[in-house]
Parts: sequence; C-alpha cells; structure tokens
Amino acid sequence: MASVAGPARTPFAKVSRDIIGALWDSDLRYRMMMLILLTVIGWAGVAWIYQIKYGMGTAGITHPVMWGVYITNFVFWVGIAHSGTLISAILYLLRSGWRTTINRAAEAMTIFAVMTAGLFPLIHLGRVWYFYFLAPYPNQRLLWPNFRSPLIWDFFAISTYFTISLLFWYSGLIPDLATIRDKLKGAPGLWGRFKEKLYSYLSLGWGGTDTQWRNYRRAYLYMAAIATPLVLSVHSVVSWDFAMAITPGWHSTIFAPYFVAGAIFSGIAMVITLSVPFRWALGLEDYITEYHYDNMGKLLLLTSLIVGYAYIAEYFMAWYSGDPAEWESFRWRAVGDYMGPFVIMTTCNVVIPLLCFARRIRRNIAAMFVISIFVNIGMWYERFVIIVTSLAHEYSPGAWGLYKPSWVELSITAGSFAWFLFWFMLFAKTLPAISITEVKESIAEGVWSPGDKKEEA
Amino acid sequence: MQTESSYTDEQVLNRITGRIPGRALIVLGTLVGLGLIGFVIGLFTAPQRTWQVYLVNFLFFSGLAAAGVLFGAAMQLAKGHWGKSMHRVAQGFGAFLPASYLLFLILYFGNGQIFPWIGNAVNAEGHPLPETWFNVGGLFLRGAAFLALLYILCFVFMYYTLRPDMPAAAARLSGWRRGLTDWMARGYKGEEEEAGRSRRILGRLAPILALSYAVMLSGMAVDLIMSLTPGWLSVLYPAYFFIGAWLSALAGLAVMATLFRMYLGLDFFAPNQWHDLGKLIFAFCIFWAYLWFSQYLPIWYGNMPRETVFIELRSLPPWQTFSIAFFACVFVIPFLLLLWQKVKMVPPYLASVAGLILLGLWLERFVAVVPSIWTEGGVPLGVIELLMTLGFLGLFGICYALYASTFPLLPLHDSIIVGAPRKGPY
Repeated sequence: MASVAGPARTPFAKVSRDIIGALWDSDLRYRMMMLILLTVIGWAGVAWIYQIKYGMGTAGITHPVMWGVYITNFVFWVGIAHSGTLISAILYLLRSGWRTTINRAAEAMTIFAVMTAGLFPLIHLGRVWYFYFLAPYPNQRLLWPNFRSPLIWDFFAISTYFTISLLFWYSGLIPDLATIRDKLKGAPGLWGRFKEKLYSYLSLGWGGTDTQWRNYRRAYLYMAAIATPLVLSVHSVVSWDFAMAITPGWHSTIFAPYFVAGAIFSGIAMVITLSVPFRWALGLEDYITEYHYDNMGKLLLLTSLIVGYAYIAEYFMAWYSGDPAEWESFRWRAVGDYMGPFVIMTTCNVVIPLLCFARRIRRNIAAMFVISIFVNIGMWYERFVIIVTSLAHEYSPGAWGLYKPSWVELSITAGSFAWFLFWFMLFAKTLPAISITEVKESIAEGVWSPGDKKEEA
Repeated sequence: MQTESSYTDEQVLNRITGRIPGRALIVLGTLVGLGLIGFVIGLFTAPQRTWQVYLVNFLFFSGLAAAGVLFGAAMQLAKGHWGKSMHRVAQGFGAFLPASYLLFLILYFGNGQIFPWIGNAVNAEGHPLPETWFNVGGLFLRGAAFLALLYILCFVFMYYTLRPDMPAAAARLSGWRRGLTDWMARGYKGEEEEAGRSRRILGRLAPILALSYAVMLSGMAVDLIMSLTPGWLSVLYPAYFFIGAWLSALAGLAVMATLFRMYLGLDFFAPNQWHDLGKLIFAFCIFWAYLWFSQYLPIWYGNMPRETVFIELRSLPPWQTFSIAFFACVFVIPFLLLLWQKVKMVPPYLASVAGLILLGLWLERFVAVVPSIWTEGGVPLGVIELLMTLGFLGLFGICYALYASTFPLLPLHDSIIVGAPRKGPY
C-alpha cells in the first residue's frame, strides 16, 4: 500500500527471511532435545499407567492431604498460561509497543500450558475414563454436575480461556501463515508440496486486501477486549477452588487478585526462561533484545510486589483478627514441617525479584534468565505451600498429618514439564515464533526495529 | 480555542491567576463556615453522628488527595504519555494533605465515639484481639507517623514536578505566593539542568511513592474502617480501599479538568486525552467492582460469622438501599454509560459520570464506616452530615484553589516524561 511508510532501517524482506528462516531446519541439538523430552514424557506415561493399574494409593496423597502435587501442578500451569493473554491482549490495548516480538511465543505458551494444566484434574481423578462427568450434559443417569462447586466453575473458566486464547493466537497467525505460503510457492519435492498445501490451508485464503486487513484489525481488537477480562476471571476462579472452602490458609478474600498477580508473575518468568535459549537457538537475538527484558523485568517486579503485599497482608490479618485457628495455620506454615518450601517460596518470589529494581540487572539477559528460573521454582512452591500446608494443619489437631509426593507423582510432574517443552519446541520449528506482521508494523511506524536495544534511560 | 498545537509558555503562564477568584472564595468560604457550624452544633447535640461523618469525610478526601499526587507517579512509571499534561490538575488534590494531617490529629478527640473496641477488644467469636495493635494511643501514634511519611513523600514529589517551572511562575506572582515560589526556585541552575535533575529524582521517587501509597492507605483502611468491626477479617479490604481512592482521583481529575475548561477557558487537553482518561476510569470501575465481588463471594460462600458480620449488616435494611446505591453509582451506571465512545470523549459527559462515581465512592465510605459505629436505629443522614460534608468540600476546594492559582496547570518543562507534546496527538 502506498500510504504505508517504507522500512526505516531493516528491510521488510530481512524480517521475513530471518523469522521464516528459523523454521523446519532441525539440527542434531534439536533432535537430541526432542528425544530427551519424549523419553521423559514416556516415563511419565508409564507412571500414570501404573497409577491407573494399582490405584491412587501409589500417589502420596492421603488423609488429610488429599490435594497434593497434582493440584499444585494444575494451578502452576494455569498460572503459566496467563502471561500469553496478558502480553497479547492487555498490552495490545495499552499500546505497549514492546510486546511485538514476544507475544506470539507467549500466546503459544498459553495454549501449551493450558493443555498441560488440563491433564492434571484427569490424572487426579484416578478413574480417568469418567472425566466426562464434569461436562454439563443431560443424560438418563441424571449425572448433572453441582453448579455450586467451584470445580465446575473452573471447568467453564478454563475451557473458555483455552478457546479464546486459541482463536486469538490463530487470528494473529493468519497473515504470517500467508507470508510463509507465498514463500513456499513452487517448493520442490513431496515434503515441499505438502508444506505449501498445509500453510495454504491454514492461511484461510488470506490475500492481504484492504478489506481483509480492516476486518483482521477489527477482529483482533475485539478479541483483545474479550480476552482481557478472562485474564482476571480464569485465575480468580482457580483461586476460588480454595477460597470457597473454610480451611484456614485457603479461605481468604484476597485470593482472587493475589492468584491473578501470581499467575502473571509466573507467566512472565516462564516467557523470560524460554525466550533466552529460544532467541539464541533460532538466531533471533536482534528481535528479542535488552529492551524487551527491561520491560518484562518491570512487569516481573510489579507482580512480585503485589504477591509480596499479599503474603504480608495474610500474615498481618491472621494475627490482627485474633482468630487462633487462622493464626496457627499461618504460623505453622512458616516454622512447621514445611518451613523449607516456605523459605524457598518467599525468597524466590519476594526477595530475589527485588533485584529488578536495578535497570542494569533488568537489561542483563543472563541475570534475568537466572532470576526467572528462581521465580518459576518459587511459584511452584507457592502453590505447594498453599495447598499442602493448609490441608495438613486444619482445625482439628487430631486430623493433622504430613504429605510427601511419591515417585509416581514426581515422574508425572517431570513429564508435565517435558510435555510443555515438547509442544513449545514443535511450535518453534513449524510456526513463525515472532509475529512477522507486527515487527514490520513496528518498523513502519518507527516504534522499534530489529536490533534496537533502546539504550537511553 | 486552540486545538492543533501545544500551548506556548506564555499562554500557560498567563493562566496563572495569582489569586482565588472572588466568587469562588465566597462560595468555598461559606461551605467551610457551614461545616464548622455543623461540627460545633453536632458536638453538642449528636457527638457520635458528628465524629462518624467526620471520619467518613476524612477518609474520602484524604484518599482523593493522596491518589491525586499518585497520578503523576503512575504516569511516569507506566510511561503514560497521554497523561503527562494532565498530572498537574490531579496533583492539585495533594494541596489538601496538610489539612488532612491536621484533621487526623483532631480525630483523636473523637476516639471514644468511633472505636467500639475501646475497653472490650474481642472479635465476633469472643477471642481477644492483640492489645499491641488495639489501643488508641498506638493507633494515633502510628497513624501520625505513617501519614507524615506519606504526605512528605507526596510533597517532595509535587515539589520536584513544579520546581523547573518556578522562576517563570514566580515572576507573575506577588505576596506569599511569590515568597513560596521563590523558595521553591532557590538555587535554580537553569531550565534544562533543573528539568533533567527533577526527572532523575522523580524517576526514583515514583516507585517509592506508589509503594508507600499502597502500604499507608492499607493501614488507614485497617485502623479507621476494619477495626470499627472488631476482628472482622478480610485480607482484601485494604487493597479495595486504596483502589477506590485511586478511582476517586481519576474521577476527580475528570471533574476538575472539565470545570477548568468550561469556566476558565483552560482547554488544555486534546480529545484523545479525554478518551484515554475515560478509558482509564472505565477500566478502574470494572476493576473496583471485581475487587468488591472478589471480597463478597468468599464471605457469602464461607458463611463464617467472623466475616459475615460486616456484610450482613450492610445487606439488610436500612443499609441495603445505600449499598445498592453506591454499587450502582460506582460501577453499574458508569459501566453502561462509558461503553459509549462519545461519553468518554465529550468532557461534560465524562465529568457527569465522574461526578456520579465520586458520589458513589463517598456513599461507599459512608456505608463502610457508619453502620459499624452507629448504635441507634435508622440511617443517620441529615443536616449535620450535610453540613459537615459541605465543610470538608469547601476546605478541599480552598486548598485546591490555592494550588491552582499559584502554579501553572500545564508543565512548562517535561519533568515527568520526555517526548510527548503538551497537547494534541501523541
């Protein structure tokens, strides 16, 4: 289009070449990595089959801690799924230009994290073949779910989130898929023709006409607006799985916003953790620069402060309210049998992210990578601490008990990480991991161009 | 009406009046006088009513004042270029902070009328409350210390946003205003250097101010609202309180900017800035309602006496009507109206919705405080409450007018954010 400004510094063609060039070619490192991941997934599958064959006794969960590592993993992965929509939808509405090169990977992460999270309620069910009992369909046995149960709210919240995230991700991909299709035109060999057909099919006949662009822009904006409330609702509903119970340590009014902030916190941390090796392996260093880590570091810091505020507020209120059960639950959480996880949680989630106050650290990619790993660990432990310590130490001292995960649970947990990474790596080699369209738009509008680190304060 | 380019320094400085317009002074002075009359009569005839509405107004106006200063800090932290030229208007609310501090100290004399836990600090289930926290001396000591800290921070922030413009403003002022602006401009090292220095300091101060705001207003909510229902447990309430105060500042900004535009010809803001302000108010109306619901749902579902004690009282007559009214004014009606782009972009429309939000937030503070204190039947909302509220409004207005008549309402130098025009497309 004549009205669009020409490239400022980097030619548009280079952007397409760089991003599409990272696709398909799988070297030995990539194949080895995939092999390792598949092995871990296989092992987790064996553990799950073992659990199905010998029953839930093979997992460590038992009275009084009937929710253990499986539910920890579920909440953790739903949390990871949060940054995608935050970066794509909310930052899009806020006109934050820096999201351009990381939104695609974050959205993909959302999809794969929900796919991972969704496995855990099934694994936790024991008799997984009855999973459809959750679905609200009429049938002759009158197995209607209990709509007053937060677990059912969760089913709706997460399935809605997954659907919208998938549509949002796919809508954003359409112009890029058409670019790849055009690049593949006349590709030699059976594999080449297959790829051409596949991308042609996926790009839904995109021709880049004015009308198509107008409709695309409008749809993208509306979807961002629809997806934004979902960022708040999904993890709020997950938090109500706990907060609706009257268990001390769970029943708290702050849980909804606190879980949402925690989810965004862990999600951003995972984006940082994955993007560092990813930009290096795909040769996209010019596209994800210090500028992006600086901004992600600020978001990480903000959400860490909100999480820290919630930790302190919970302790203060437990003491201030004069309620002995509430106070005992929180006291034991900090100095009881699970003191180790508690210390890991607070150190990783509150203390270490304070480093992000320093601009020098936010712009140091290696430092951000290390901090993000600590946050990932801390956020997994946060879910563990909330779930396990509250159940282990409820009102009646006669019903107190401890929980230790079994090898089956640990194997399946390791498998979930491998499963998530497997999909992510597959994505990195089959779909453009950075939005070609949005990078070109950024260049045309003079917002940002590849290689620009925005060094000035 | 200038709509295309930025204002010149001269045009901005010409709008500094150097005195409060006579009519405004009469109206505001009358309001303060009415408030004083109401306060004195109330102390002799109905001390509990007087002190409880005093507390309601203290909370409402102090929250508005602190959040007004926070607006500039938030714009700086979020790099909100659109709000750059608006922050001076919101910052003016901070002029009320010294009065707020004094009002807090005066509140001490009404402690016997408002804190039900004095002499019997137990929660709804009969468990004793921690004495280290529940004692009047401690409450006022920590309150005085923490408020001083927050208010000083707010003033330092205001000082550094204003300082680069001070010599230019001082040249047009006389009397105490001249003295104040000269003092603020002491050791001035030139426009560019001062603007750069302010920018550096404000960059460091903004996160500290934002954190202090959250912590101090949380403390205010705990001591001056939650403690009125001894032992009531809601971890979210302090955050809900300070987000409400923030929303009041956004609404207050829309109202003040519209008043300036309508009556003083200060057409400083471009349509897209009004639109952005409208969107921000819309977003925070939703967020406020989200926090309200997040608090309500677990309490309703858990049905535990230590929590429901607060909600139940406000869900039943006679308070039920007021609870519905504030929720409608802060969320339901603004949500429906702000869906329209025109309501967000036409200043009088936006100001009307913002006014409704302010009314709703005042009612919300009223419903949060009074039912916990009031020991007799019915809703104590009559002449005393009206006069006291008008008095606070008048005092707030005088403080704001002093600020607005002394300082330029549009920044001459970019002390908050670099690179955005004062007005127009950004």
